[in-house]
Amino acid sequence: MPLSRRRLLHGALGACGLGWAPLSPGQTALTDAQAKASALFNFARYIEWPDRAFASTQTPFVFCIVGRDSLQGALTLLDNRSLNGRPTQVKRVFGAEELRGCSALYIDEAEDRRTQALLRSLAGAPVLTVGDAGGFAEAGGAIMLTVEDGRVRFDINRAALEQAQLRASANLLRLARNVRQP
Amino acid sequence: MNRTPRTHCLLSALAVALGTAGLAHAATAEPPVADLSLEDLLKADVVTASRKSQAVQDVAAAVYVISREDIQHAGATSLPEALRLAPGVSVARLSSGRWAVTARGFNNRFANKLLVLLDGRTIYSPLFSGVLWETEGTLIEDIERIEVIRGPGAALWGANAVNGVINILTRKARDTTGTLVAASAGNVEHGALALRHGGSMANGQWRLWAKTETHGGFDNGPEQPGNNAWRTARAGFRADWQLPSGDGLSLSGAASLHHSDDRWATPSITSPTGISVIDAQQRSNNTHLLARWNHLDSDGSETIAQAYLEDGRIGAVQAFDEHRRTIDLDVQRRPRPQGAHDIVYGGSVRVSHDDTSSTGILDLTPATRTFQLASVFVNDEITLVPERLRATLGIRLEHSNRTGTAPQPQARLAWTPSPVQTVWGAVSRAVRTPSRGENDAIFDRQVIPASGMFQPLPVLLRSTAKEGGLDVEKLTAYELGYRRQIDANLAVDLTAFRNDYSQLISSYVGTQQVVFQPYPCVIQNIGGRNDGRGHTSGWEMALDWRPLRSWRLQATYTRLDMHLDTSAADPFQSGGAARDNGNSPRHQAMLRSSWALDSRHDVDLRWRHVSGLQQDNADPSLRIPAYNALDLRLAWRPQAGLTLALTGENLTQARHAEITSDQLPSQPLQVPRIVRLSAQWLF
Repeated sequence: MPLSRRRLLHGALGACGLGWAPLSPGQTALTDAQAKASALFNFARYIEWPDRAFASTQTPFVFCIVGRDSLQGALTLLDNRSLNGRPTQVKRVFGAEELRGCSALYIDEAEDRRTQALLRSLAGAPVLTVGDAGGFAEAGGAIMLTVEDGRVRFDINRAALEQAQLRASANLLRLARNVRQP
Repeated sequence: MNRTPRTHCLLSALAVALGTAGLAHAATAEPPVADLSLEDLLKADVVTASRKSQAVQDVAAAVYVISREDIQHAGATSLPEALRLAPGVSVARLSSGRWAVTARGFNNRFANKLLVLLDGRTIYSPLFSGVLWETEGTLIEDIERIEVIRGPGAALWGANAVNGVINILTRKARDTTGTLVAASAGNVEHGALALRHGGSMANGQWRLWAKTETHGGFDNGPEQPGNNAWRTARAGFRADWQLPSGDGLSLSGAASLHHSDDRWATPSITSPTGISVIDAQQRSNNTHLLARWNHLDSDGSETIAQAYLEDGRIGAVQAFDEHRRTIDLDVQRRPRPQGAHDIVYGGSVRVSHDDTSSTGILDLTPATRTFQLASVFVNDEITLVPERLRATLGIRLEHSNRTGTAPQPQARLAWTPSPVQTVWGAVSRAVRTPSRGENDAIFDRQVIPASGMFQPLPVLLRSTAKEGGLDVEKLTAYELGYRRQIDANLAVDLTAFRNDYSQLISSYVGTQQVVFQPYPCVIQNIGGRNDGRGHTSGWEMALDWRPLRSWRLQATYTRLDMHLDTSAADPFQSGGAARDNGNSPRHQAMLRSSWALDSRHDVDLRWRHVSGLQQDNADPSLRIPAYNALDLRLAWRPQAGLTLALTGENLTQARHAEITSDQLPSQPLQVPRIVRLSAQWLF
């Protein structure tokens, strides 16, 4: 792993003066998969889940990644970390019947043909849906992200967040390129 | 911008965490930067390599994606012009509307070792074995991307995917809602008009389109006018539904009319030179309807079924007429990956029936034939070491009613030492089925005029029908490739290959007879058999560099060496190994620069080098010198949705030849400077 998540988060928090060194611009560029995975992790940090989403305070936060190859080489950025006090896990999923236990669902553009079926079966469940296909937000996904030249940009679909009873922080909404109001 | 320090801190924390400086800009006032939004060399997704969606970086095959933006920036108006952009592909313009396109050698107007699919429908002609590029096309603005696979794709796509597979994919109907009007005209293109309108319906979207174009012809110099003007009209539709069950359904169809002039040098026993020149008119029409259904099981297993019907007619006055009807069914299933295995399997059936009539230069016997093809395939991608090493094993068994059963296996290995680097290798086999024309056509190849007492009568060389039919041509291919995303702005893709061919179709001298009616001559029959062999080798490179956000440079290089065995008893310059050895360029290079001056102006510059061809050592008229071409495109977007572009091709040279048609001897023609003005309005 050319760039550890620790370094990423140190970079993020370093800017707040918490004592870690910031990520300097000269360091190894992120692969797209790494950029997407770290974005996914950070979306989860700035979104609040309803209590019913987790059975207990020790229930792990599960990142469900659709498809076999999505975010290849970047899953260690999401797996076995601590997120708002919970341990995180990564699970690869393919079909609607495997979504139980997912806290966030990432659908890569290459798996876009599964989007409709997966989103429909989630209907109202407290799962953050993130995707990078062009029409992801229109299709009912909560966050559509794009990576251009290593830069992450994202659109937020507030209706989808509300339906899933997720609350995005004002700062996350402010950073979005577009916010689709319900 | 009024923020508390704490908010600002959080924002920058998030921005940095997201790995971006640009994000912070997005939140503040971002200065307008001219961005080139182009699909990166290794990041595009492809479906052709393994019948499932994969990023180019991960594919264990020589794959190149020509994106919609590439086509736009190249100012391409036809499929062959777009295909020029891919490394390893050889594109030569025979006339204003006719092209020779191949991958890894054997170029010809009827280049027969490349399988071409347009939205999953094969456009490879069973009569000629090859693609008649002048008759094929779609609305160029509708193309989402063209996936070009060099090397065999037969284990997945079946016969004729020998040297490569080209899959042209059009945009989803949801991406083409609204109206498009495009018009263009130039010195060769007399005028073209395209209309498209798309909208939404219950559970889906649709589009309707139509295009008409009229082109003038090329000549062979100021004193030698050509006869190759052409015109085409097409119309089509596509509708995509996302059904409440989660299934996807897509229905598309098109109808086209094509008319082009040509000038043939046909052998003539009555002419003192042995040749008579015919001004021919080629006409064709084609209609097809295609349905595709996608189904997802709740465990994520996928089934795709596709069927199409096609009815086409092609003919030339004084030569032949073919009416062909084809039905094709293809089903594939990809079960939910289990453990290390990701399997795709399926099968297909095709029945293609033709009714031909021939007058004059060509005689097809029998006049009708039905070609039946049935095949099954399975392909397993096995993860040997997670995120590091993957193997692919696959085989296709194909049965045709003319050539029997042919197994077409492949074995591929991809090693990914880091997420930005892939080393891959492959060994695969493919076959090409002989065409209807190769098997059944009787035609006069050449007349050797009488010359004194040793040859008192003219000799007519006549190709005979192949009793019992020819066998398949076979290829075993070895490939090695390397891809690397060197940094965010620089990527490289390298491939080397060696192709071993056997059972290549060649000709031999058959029986002789002397006839006195209608004119005394010796008829020398020329038969065909599968005794040609040989190998080719070469390497290909693609480099993609973005020195600035507004400037992209792409370079491709192709090296090809043909070593077909010329010792086989094939006496004819007009067929066989000697010609094939000389008719593909040994070097091809291209450098493309795309520069967005600002958000309204683009400047695209392209330089191409193609080395010379020596199609026949004995005949200097078949020598094509190397050429360099410089192409330029200036685009201006005066308002949202409106694009005006001025395109110039071959700017540095008044004219050059690219290839000579030899199988059906045609007029020699040269490509002139081509200038074109186009306007596109989207609303």
